[in-house]
Amino acid sequence: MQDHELRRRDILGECIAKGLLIAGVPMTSVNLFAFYQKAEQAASQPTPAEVLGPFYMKGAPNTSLLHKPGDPGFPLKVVGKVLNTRGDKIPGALVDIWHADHAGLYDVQGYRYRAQLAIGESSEYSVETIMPGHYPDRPAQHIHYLITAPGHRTLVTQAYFATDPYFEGNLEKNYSKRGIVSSRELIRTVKLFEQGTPHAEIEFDIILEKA
Amino acid sequence: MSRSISSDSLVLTLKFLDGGRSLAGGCSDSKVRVWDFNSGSLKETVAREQAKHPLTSLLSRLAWTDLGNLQATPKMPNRQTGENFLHILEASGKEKHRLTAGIGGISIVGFSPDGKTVVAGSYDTDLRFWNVSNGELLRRVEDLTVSMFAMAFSPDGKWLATAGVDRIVYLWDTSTWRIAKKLAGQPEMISALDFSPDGKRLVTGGFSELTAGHPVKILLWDLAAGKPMKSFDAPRQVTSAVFSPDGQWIAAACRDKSIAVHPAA
Ligand SMILES: [Fe+2]
Repeated sequence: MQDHELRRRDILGECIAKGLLIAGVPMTSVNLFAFYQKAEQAASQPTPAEVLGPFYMKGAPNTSLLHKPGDPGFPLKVVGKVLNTRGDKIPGALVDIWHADHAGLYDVQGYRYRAQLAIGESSEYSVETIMPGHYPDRPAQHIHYLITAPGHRTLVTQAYFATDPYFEGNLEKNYSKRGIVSSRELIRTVKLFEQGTPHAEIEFDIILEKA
Repeated sequence: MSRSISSDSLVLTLKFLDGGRSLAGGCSDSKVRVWDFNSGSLKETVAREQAKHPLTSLLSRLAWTDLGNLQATPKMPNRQTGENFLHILEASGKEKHRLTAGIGGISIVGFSPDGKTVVAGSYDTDLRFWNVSNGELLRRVEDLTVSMFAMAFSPDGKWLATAGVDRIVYLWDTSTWRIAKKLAGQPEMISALDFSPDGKRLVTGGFSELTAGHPVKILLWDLAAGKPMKSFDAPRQVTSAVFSPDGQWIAAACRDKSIAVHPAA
């Protein structure tokens, strides 16, 4: 996804440089590019939906720290924004996030690896947790989402990891394997950070449709 | 004495027939199998496609979704919105009501024994009660925090029992559709339950938080005491548990394709 976007940006930049793309009124290439990007965002589709699964729990705490010190599993940070299809921020969203522990099990007695984030005006969220494990019934690592926001359709979805051994190193070929992942778009590039506490990071913006 | 009946296919729902002489199971291969209850021998295998056969509506009858003149049919949630719809269909197949029932899929559904109310639980953890005749939403319960996996009405219709992820049996007073009692004691999630014919006992079957393949307990409850009277081991998740019509036995279908038969008194 990200590669794809970068390629588009390069192509667009080249078009501007070569004079293949010019504004009707005088405009700097920077402005022209920004103008184009905005128009591009206007066409963005809502985040694809995924199944809710049987282990959603109501009443999770509003906390951005999902794991406890010493929890097994590789540290993971998840960041994103809640946007509408025009790319504008949606204030006041409630983002329920839950996932399995490092061994692939859900905490159904308490709220470990579960949060309901009350997102304010910034429309941004960020959580610190661990990489979810694999469990036999649903072998792709995933994070569940349930998002509600005033004036918008409720979205139930899941984020997946491009590094998941489940995809056998060939995402394009294997993402639809066994029909587990509904959309290629939900699989995210994993960034690794070595400095400080080594951790992985994924970005997962949520695009909601108007109600 | 406890014993076991084996099936060629995973049994999802059980029902006693012929006053308890036969035990029928709705199986995951879409067939209904009928065993002689005493000998455990297979008497009949019926494909559900055989629409005229009296056993073909067995699965839905057992799941409380068939009143004879009306059927409650949950639809798969809408792919993009996740919304659930519960269709109430007349015997002719004509739609009487299309009820909106939360998001994420319907986990339990059933008519009350008097046919006046239909209940559905959703994977978003909400429970809804509707008036069957006009489709009006009577009550939406939003304070359960987990999904319900199993339900049963008491034979006299006074109680609804629901249970699921949090291991608790919720007993609902059907005159108010509010929780009257909670039973705790099952050591894992609950995926099967039934009332005894006299309404005094309950059977529950477990579903391990580890996987459906892990061992669990089958509990026999004394409702007046609010406590389990007996506990039996099951090698995997219990998919359905029922009392025999004489109240003497419980039959519990398990994910290893066996049906365990235990004394209920
Ligand atoms: Fe899951």
